[in-house]
Amino acid sequence: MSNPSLPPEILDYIVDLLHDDPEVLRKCCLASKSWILRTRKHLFACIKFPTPKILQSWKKAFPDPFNSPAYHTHTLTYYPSAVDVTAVDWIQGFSHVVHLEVIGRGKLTTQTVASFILFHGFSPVIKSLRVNFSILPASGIFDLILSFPLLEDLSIFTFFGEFIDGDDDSGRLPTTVQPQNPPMFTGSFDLFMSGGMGSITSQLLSSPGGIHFRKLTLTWFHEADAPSIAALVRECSDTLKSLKVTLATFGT
Amino acid sequence: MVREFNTCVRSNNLPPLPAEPGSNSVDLSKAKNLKDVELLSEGLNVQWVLTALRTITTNHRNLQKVSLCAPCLSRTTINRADPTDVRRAIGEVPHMQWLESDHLLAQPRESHSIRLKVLYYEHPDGTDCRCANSLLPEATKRGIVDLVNLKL
Repeated sequence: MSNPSLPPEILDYIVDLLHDDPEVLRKCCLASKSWILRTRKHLFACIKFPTPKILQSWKKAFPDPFNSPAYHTHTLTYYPSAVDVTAVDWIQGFSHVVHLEVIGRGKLTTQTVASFILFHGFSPVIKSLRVNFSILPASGIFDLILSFPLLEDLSIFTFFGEFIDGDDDSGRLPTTVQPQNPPMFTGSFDLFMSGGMGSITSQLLSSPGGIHFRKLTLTWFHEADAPSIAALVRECSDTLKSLKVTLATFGT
Repeated sequence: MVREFNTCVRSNNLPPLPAEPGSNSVDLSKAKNLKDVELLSEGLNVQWVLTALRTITTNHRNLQKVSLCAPCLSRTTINRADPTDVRRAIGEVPHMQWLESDHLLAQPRESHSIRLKVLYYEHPDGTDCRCANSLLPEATKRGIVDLVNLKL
């Protein structure tokens, strides 16, 4: 089907225009072998593993991580509960991920913390990380954050509960060494916590490279977190260009 | 003449509100590159907002916009268009804090003016915008307030 006289740049341009239409992209993929590479770039740009079943399907479809379309993925979302921590080769294929989102729901388990360790520095080009947990696991989350040297933007959302450690078993997990090139945190920081901000901010403020955020979006609920809010603003004073602080109330 | 934003306001013969600087409050005095500041309180507690606003000085030459959130009074049976009713509804101290915030933000600045964006919750009777105006009389008079309706 491909027209031999059509310059590849034009073909790429046409496929790029279809980047947000996965149905058409799938059809393009079947139209011609020469179309596959460009369409894959868009089809596999954003990958989400919410369940073990979906992850298993991926591993079955692409058993060789180094020849999988994971190469094209720039946004990866995973749920720790979906990850089998004993079979982790597939992660290595995602070495071009720029945005990572980790979503956790329900009770924390050893698997949650173990999955963090598996993802340490898996993509050296990660620039933004979003951590979204109903209960934020203290164990390991900051080691994960600090393992991405180019990390600029960080979002931490925890909807309820306090900042607590995971299961007792988490204490037996291996710990990581101090990163050689810690991130400088020069982008934005979005923090939404219903309480217990101190644990997050103390770790963030003691990160080896310091924090230099240009944009802070901080949502807090309790007076007890006022020192954390103040400390974050103070620490970023030299670089801060945009500040949004919301003292929220429950039920709004 | 440019005045520093560190004055206190007196209202209704009440003593001036104490400044509460300290490690627990937001101090913007060193954040001189700020362009945009949003200090939103969904409840009636605006002391922390006022304390932060007091640390904004004429050295914040890049500051273009400050956003605040007017209190939501939708569950009370007050006349939102009546400043006296509004003061009674939100309480004397928060009301004074609003007036001082208004005073700080309405000061003329030598280099540039700061736009003030006020978010407010719409009430069916349509008087909430007047409530916001009554909390910020000086800034409203100067025409630097942009009201933004938040649909409930």
